[in-house]
Amino acid sequence: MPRRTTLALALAAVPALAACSGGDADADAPLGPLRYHPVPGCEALDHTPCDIREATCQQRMLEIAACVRGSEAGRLPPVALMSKTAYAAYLEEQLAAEEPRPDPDHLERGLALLQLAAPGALSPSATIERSVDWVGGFYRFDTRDIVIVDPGEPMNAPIMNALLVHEMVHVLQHRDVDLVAYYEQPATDDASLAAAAVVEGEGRLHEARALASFVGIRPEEVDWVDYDRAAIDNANAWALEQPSPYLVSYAAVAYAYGARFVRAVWEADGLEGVRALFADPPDSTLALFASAEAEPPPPPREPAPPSAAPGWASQSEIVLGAWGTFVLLSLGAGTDAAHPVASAWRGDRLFVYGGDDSSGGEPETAVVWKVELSDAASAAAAATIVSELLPDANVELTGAALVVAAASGGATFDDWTL
Amino acid sequence: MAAALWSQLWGCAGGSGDAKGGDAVELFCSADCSNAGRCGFLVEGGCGDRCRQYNTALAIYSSSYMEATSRCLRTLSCAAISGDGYQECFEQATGLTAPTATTRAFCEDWVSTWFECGSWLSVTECEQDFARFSAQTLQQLAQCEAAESCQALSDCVVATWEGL
Repeated sequence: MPRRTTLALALAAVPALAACSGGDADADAPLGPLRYHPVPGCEALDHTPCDIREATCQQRMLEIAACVRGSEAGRLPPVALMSKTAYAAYLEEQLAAEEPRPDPDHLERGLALLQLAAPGALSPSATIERSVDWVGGFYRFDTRDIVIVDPGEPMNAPIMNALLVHEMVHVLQHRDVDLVAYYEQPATDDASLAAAAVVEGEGRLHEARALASFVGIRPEEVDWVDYDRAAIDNANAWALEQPSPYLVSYAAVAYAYGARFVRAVWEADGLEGVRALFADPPDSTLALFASAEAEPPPPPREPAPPSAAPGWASQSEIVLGAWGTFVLLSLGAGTDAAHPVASAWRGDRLFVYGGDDSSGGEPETAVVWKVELSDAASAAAAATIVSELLPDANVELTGAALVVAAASGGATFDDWTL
Repeated sequence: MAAALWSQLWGCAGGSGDAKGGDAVELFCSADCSNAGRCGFLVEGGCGDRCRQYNTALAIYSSSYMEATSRCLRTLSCAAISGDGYQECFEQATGLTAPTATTRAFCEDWVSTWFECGSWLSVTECEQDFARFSAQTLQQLAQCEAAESCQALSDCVVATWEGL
């Protein structure tokens, strides 16, 4: 109490002094340097932004990453800078070492039939262009080093410091968990995306808290619910603006949705809870949609494949998940209408078929998307949206299950059992 | 933005003379009419009144910013006055205006509000950007921080700028 009285008197004296020196003197006085507010719990570390090309700066970012996730900092990994041009060349080299996409690429065509991808979207050049557009840096599992893709920002900018903290989190994750094996576990594309949301979500969670500090505000005063909501809105809007919205799923989902998901676990169960996610990651993106709910979503259902007509051969099979469903429905009806329906997702399969080329022409492509929702009303809403979005598609509604079939070249599904 | 705000209307003689301190419009008009006089651009009386009448939009700026701008304006050659000199002075003064405690207080809240909407703006950058504006301008912009959503915040800021 005595302290408080003294402080009150001291504060009361300020206006009087200011008045003597003439009105608004305090407000117009020259400023000292900005004081940075550390991430709570890491007050011993300097949070002033620095040039991330310098080893001392890199060491500090590693220490901040280690502090915020309760790890030992350990040895500083190599950090390299790469221009966007060099990154494109690096990706080209990586893709050249992989099995080339089939020709014709029925998966690409199938996604295009559903408006989820543009023609040519899975070509190496389009894949590279997408990555170069949004990747700011990456951590390489094999060489255990960090590459920062030069965006043209000053290297001491707060966002560059935060980016390095994010990548350092991956370094520390990989010391705790074999991330290569972690990414090999998921059985479907949607489960892979959900697993990635744990890795990138933790990175984004700590990156964002550090960024708050680096830009000069107090991390503890940020409304993180609002922050996550805006990040998800921005990610949704960005993805839906892309010519191939489903193909930017990693960029859109893993970071923004992942951060909200991991933050909910971190706030409820702390850093140990976050670590436990690596042993038991979510098995679908539905978990990311429902992160605010107390109960985990049910295991995804697996709709049976259709029986194709003679002359059609199965080419590939993917799971769009709640996220892919959300993208498709958003293209038709906007995000507000799509979100509740996508949240009712309980399982799906997108079956892709190629026609025979006996006629000598280009073989046709057919897709059958079978999705199960939690209730008939949601399925009916999805059917209405998809029918309007894809007027040439066959849309069949049975209770809470929906089948959408579309084919190129005017092919029909008369001889199919969907 | 600053470049589009002023209006050189030199139909005057004399004007208001040299202002020491004073508000932003007064500081600008003093330099502007002085330039008009020394370069022979005056064709009729009332330069100061006319300048003040047509440049009320400059009231968004702080006196310190307009002092720096005016100092630059007064050094311009007559050729530069007819060319891009004014614009260059407005731009140059941005880097010469030191932020104040008012600027910092505004920026800490402003950056925090925009951060929650996904902005990377830092307090330091904000201080550099907003040091040129008057406390009243900052106060009007700060009212937008009460907006219910990021879209509402953005709309409010646009509307506030347009209304200044």
